[in-house]
Amino acid sequence: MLPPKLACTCTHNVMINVAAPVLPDASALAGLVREHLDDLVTYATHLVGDVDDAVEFVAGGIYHASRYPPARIQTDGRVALYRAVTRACRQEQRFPPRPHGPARFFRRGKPPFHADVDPGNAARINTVKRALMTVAFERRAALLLRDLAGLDYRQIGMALECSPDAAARLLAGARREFGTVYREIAI
Amino acid sequence: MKCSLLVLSSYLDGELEARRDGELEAHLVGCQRCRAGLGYLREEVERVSALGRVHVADHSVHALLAQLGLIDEDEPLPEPSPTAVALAEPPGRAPSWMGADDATSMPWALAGPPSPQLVDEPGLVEPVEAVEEELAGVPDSAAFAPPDVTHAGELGSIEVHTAAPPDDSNEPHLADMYAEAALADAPDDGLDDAEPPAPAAQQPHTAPAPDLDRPAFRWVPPLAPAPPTAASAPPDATEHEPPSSPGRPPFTWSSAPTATGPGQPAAAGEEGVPAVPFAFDSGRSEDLPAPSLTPPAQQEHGPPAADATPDQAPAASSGGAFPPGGPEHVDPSDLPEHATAPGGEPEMTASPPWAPHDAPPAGPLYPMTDDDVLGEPVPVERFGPPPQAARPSLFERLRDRLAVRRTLSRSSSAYDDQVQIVSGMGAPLRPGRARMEVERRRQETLRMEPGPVPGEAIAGFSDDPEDEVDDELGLGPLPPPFPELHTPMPMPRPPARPAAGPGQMSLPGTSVTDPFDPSAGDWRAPIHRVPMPPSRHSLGGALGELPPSTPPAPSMPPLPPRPPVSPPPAPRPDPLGEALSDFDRPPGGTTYEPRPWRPREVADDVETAPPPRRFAAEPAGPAHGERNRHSPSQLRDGRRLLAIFGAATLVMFVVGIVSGRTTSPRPASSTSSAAPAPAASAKPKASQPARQPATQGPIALSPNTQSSQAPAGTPQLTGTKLLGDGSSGFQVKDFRYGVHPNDFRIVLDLEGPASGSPKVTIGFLDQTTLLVALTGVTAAGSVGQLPSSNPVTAITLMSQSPFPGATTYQIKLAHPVTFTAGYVPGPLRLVLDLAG
Repeated sequence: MLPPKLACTCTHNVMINVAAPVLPDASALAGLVREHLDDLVTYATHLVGDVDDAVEFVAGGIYHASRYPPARIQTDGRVALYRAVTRACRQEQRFPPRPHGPARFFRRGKPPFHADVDPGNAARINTVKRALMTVAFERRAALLLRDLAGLDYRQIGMALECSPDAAARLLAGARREFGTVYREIAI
Repeated sequence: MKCSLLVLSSYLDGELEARRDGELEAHLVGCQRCRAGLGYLREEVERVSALGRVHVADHSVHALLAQLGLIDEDEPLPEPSPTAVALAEPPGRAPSWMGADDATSMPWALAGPPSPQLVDEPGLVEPVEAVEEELAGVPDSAAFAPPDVTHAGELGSIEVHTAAPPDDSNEPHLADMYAEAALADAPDDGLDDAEPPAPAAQQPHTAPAPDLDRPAFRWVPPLAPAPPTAASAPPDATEHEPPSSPGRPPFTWSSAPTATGPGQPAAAGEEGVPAVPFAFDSGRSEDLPAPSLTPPAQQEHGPPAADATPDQAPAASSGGAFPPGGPEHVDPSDLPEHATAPGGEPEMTASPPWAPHDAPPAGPLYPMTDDDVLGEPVPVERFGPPPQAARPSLFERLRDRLAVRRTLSRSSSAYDDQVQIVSGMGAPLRPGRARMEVERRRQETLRMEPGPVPGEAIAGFSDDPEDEVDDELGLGPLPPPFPELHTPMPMPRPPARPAAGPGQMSLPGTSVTDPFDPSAGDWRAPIHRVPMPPSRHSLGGALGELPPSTPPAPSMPPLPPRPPVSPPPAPRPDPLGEALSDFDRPPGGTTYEPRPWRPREVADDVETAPPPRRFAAEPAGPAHGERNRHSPSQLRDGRRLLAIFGAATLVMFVVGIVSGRTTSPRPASSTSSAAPAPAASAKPKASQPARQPATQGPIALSPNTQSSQAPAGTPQLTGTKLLGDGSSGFQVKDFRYGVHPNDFRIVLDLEGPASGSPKVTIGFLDQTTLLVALTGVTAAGSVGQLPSSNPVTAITLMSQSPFPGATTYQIKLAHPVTFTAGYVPGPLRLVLDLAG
């Protein structure tokens, strides 16, 4: 019998999963990456503005996701990948990591990951991309996650590590800013 | 419901609750601003969703996964699951009230989107169909009222396409009348306005159109490039008109720009540009998204052949004008500036079928300001600092800091000194020229007669602030801004009239006339002047000059009490002020009217603020103080210059004293002999024969710079011995030394004339310094090698001899000695024996 102060007054059942998380299989993550790799690279390309950097960031994000895989890869795996890639783009985490510091002059680092990509028109700069690059990173990410990746507000919040309401505000602000800049620079 | 961009954005993404969704839809019906904003948001969604895609090759995917350790090197790529979510699903949906789906919250339902079979028909532009269908379902046609032509003419040219009614009715239709009137007013911009309407039979039309009697309008924004004329356009594409019903002219009405940037594909005909009424398009974008006749998802993978519009089909078949990914995938930079469709028509913009049909053509309502969005907190970068802007360089920071310091160090009054009148009216007068300048200006003023005299102003120009400035200078008002009004100089003054208005007061003997009053008759009529206050702020002071018996105007406020007149300033001899006071008198009159009281100046500057100490001797009169007062910055600068000059003078004085002490000769010894110094009164001249500098021979062990300097006067030597007969033209060729048991011999070999000997003066400067001065001798050789054991420590040729016209050698001794000297002829040489 709990003391009165600690008695739960909730009317609904609150279930806490205390079981140890089961790490997903690497093949499941590989399949998920295989499915969404093009979308991730496309998203990262428009997020950072460069295809080569985007590939490295995506690789870095996937590497991080492989080290810390999502618990529910079947349900939240895609969002987790976007989250990892967004974080990698934000923090410029590349794979393989570039050597930094004075020691990089004395050792030979691994060559950057090279992938044969077909950037299509993603590498070409046009007014939309120029306007997009003027938007702040978080807003740009929200805009791309919604309009390019098709995530809903809840998923955008998960990817950007914010609440859905904040994601909605980010998105609305991003659209407003993007539209303003686009109309300014579009002739 | 409050207009909110956040709500619109959420509504566009389908993230609103059902109740809020219905409220917003209801709000959109009556809020044009929100409809325009929603249209903008849709355009942005389309633009972002139409961005290019990146595809990673399979072998690269395999290499990446293998490198990440997700698969083995020899393991094949995992197959993607069939439940993969497609990228770029259609982000936006059309509101139900626009006909995208069944309206769930609206009391009526509009017609749905155009059916595919209608699109398949040739020569049909889908937006027109959508328009017709939606117009057919709109119960109130007033919602699509045409824009005001007069107002639209400010934005761009209006083209009116008057289509003859299909019936043979001879009665002029009201729409034609409107169209003709508008055509007469609209400027001819080269756009053809006589495009023949397409035959009704060629225009497939299935939906019944409402009977709307309107002319066909096309709004061409001024910034949009001019489309080609209708003569170059195929007739089937120039006009897209719905089949007209009897008694109704066909109409096409588009407020969207007719031509867009190169990024715009040719999705519709020239005239069929977003033929949706009020379908908005910015018209300036170079890479607007693809014409959204199909959803973006379909654009991504290319529209099916059956859904391709007639203009898109030849574009795709003519060598791939657009890639399969859609027209947006064509880089605008790769296209010409005004890309044209294969048919030679400018590319048109087709708005999506769910675009807001009654959006305004211009975008002043956008961007919408949303407090929620504007108040959005800045996202916290938890994992790293945001990219920083380039920091300014050291030079830029120093420059900015200096600029800020300089700005802050300046007082507000210092800025008044930035503008200085150096000549002309208002320039400070020099005291010497005061009388002449005043006389000249007086003559100028006399020539301007009957222009404004001091203390008066022309009615209508009394508010000119320059009058105040000019009057403060005591030079009278500036010439009137319209000289032609005053060119006829001889103008009789009309009889006196009472004041005409509340703002115009007349003194006895004057009258008031507004030069711009049309009722006053000829505007070139003589202008009567009225004494005006010197400034708009000193009306009370001007009124204070009125005689006490003059009643004020009825509408004038009560006069303020006249302030006590301050005692006149102390008399001070100031010819300029005296001259100016004389100048203030009317030219022809003998009466002197004192200058009106200036309450502002008195309150601000003179009465309340005690004069500084340095101005204590000056009179406190405002005009006088204005003329003679120096600004603090001027005084500060003057004192600074004076201090710098004084410091420089002091430094120079001290340096001169120090250098004089160091270079002056030593005072004569008390044991000096009575031997007169040679040429004691003469100073060294620059015309001395050139001498070689002090020889840095081996014996110059310690070149004494002090000794090498020429003393200020002729040194006083002791034990002086004079030799020679004063011949000149000799040279000292060599020095020879001889060490003897009792003395040390120095021999100077002289070369020169065969007879005679130069004059030589030998004496002790002090006990250890022996000077040998040879007059009329030049030093040609070195002093030679000095022996090791001898009383002489150094022999130096003095660069500047203390004896004028002489070559002087300075012999430094280790101890005091006595000397004997003499000439030895054949060859002539000077022998100097040092003993002791």
